[in-house]
Amino acid sequence: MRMTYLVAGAGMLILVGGVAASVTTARADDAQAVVTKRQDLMKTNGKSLQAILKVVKGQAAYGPDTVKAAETVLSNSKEIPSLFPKDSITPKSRAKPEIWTHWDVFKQKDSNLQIQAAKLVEVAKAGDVKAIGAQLQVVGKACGACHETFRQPEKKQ
Amino acid sequence: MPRADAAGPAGALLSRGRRGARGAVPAGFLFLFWLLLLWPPGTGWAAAPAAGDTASGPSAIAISRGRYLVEAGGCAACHTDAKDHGQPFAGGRALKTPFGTFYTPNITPDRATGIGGWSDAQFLRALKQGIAPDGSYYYPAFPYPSFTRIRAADALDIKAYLFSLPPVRHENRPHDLRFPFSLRPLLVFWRLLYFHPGDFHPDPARSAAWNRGAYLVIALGHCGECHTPRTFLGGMKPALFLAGTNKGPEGEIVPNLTPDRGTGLGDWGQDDIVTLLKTGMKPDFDNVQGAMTEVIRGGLGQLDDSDLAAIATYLHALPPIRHKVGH
Ligand code: HEC
Ligand code: HEC
Ligand code: HEC
Repeated sequence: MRMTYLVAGAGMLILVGGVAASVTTARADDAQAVVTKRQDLMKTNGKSLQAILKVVKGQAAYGPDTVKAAETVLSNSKEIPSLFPKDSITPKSRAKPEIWTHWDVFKQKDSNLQIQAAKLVEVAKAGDVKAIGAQLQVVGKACGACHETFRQPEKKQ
Repeated sequence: MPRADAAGPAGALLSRGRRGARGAVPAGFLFLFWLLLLWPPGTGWAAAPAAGDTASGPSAIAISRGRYLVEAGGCAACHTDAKDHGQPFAGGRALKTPFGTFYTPNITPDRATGIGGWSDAQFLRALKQGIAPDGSYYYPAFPYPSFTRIRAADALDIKAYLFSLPPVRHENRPHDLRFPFSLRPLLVFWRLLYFHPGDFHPDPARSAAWNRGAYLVIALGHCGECHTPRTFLGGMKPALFLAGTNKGPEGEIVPNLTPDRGTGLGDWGQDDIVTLLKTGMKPDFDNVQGAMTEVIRGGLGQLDDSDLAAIATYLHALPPIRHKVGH
């Protein structure tokens, strides 16, 4: 009889362990989902600015898309903080834990991007390509300033 | 710049007994024989031309040229302990590697703790041969395998600039290396295999810009020290020069700089490369982090546009190598 209890006990343990494991993987999946989401948003930012750069370089024509690209960056910039829930770091993420120990600084870098992206939308609407080029550099620096402090160098996992 | 790879060589070599280094051993002995015959440290052609050393001292022009070359060489980044607000060039910066931690020495002209007492010949020997005034070998964490290609005149301008700086009294901190990497004399083997001293030889068939770029990349900028993969013995793989590696300093991924489309810089315009070297910004508005930021901040970003364009010219003319790094 004792044997049966033992087996049953072990079975319970495995079951409980399995449930616990699936809970943690679920959490890891959630974290990875938000990481993927913000990485995609960041990539869209880069692509949008790249599209504007083409206009500045004369490789593409100025048009409504130029304004749209700037607006995308602006609206994305407002979403950034919500895509960084506390301690959302996965092996695929390059976010630094300092984001949450220095949340104010992180938010401030993001507000700076919002301000500069709003100006980019303005100059994009006005259509002066030279002014667009100048503001594009400022926006690029605002992006870089956050990465410098809050993103890890790329490492092989 | 913490440079795991650079120190790797020495260490890897020392532990080579296990894997296929058998061929290297006899070769090493042959080389050793040659070395003892021709190249005892401190003599032969190693005793560099003792130009300068004049009583009048270097000119202001030499000093300003030297300052520029120091920027191109990124000397400040390694020789300044920025983390602890150390004085420029006074050393003490930790370079963490798998073999232990190197602490860069003081290269200000302080006589007691820096290099204030050095002659021109001693300075040239350090940069171009990797040999200290006392005849001992430097670890390749000091990128002299690249600096060996620096022109002697340029090296002396660098010295002139360093010697124009205020001397800073700051004791060198001994490296903290694991045994047996702590044994400097063993570097002789590494040098035999991987150190190819010699000058930079311009290619007359190429443009002036290409040659300038080649000099900046190969010698002063020592780009290959990070951007070239290394053998398990830690030597650079010449066939993959600048083709990138997943095992850069502190484990960073170092991209392929050859103009391969897909794995290298094939899709980058010349102006894109210049922008990156100046600001760290990539064409997709992403920017670099880590070691490359230090290289740019440490001086590369201050170079004239014409020099950065020359670097881009040279990189674009490299044979494209298909070599994927990263994910
Ligand atoms: C407030 C901080 C902040 C700002 C502002 C910011 N980023 Fe990011 N960015 C990050 C962080 C943190 C990561 C790393 C996210 C991760 O891997 O989890 C990142 C990652 C990226 C990536 C890499 C995405 C990937 O696939 O791994 C790109 C590209 C990027 N950002 C572009 C931009 C651009 C362009 C801007 C400006 C329009 C910008 N970022 C503004 C913090 C910021
Ligand atoms: C990647 C980091 C790095 C860079 C870049 C670098 N050095 Fe060094 N340097 C070192 C290390 C580490 C040592 C000590 C090597 C040893 O102890 O074997 C060293 C040693 C020296 C020494 C010998 C000092 C002594 O007291 O023996 C001189 C001189 C020197 N470096 C000059 C320069 C100059 C000039 C430049 C720029 C052209 C430069 N270094 C760039 C890391 C660096
Ligand atoms: C101390 C190591 C180190 C040295 C020296 C170094 N690099 Fe880099 N470099 C890196 C790393 C690491 C990256 C990747 C940075 C990132 O993406 O965050 C990089 C990125 C780059 C890139 C961007 C490539 C891409 O595909 O994103 C270029 C271009 C570049 N380096 C050129 C150079 C040149 C030219 C030199 C010499 C003048 C040089 N590097 C010297 C470490 C180094």
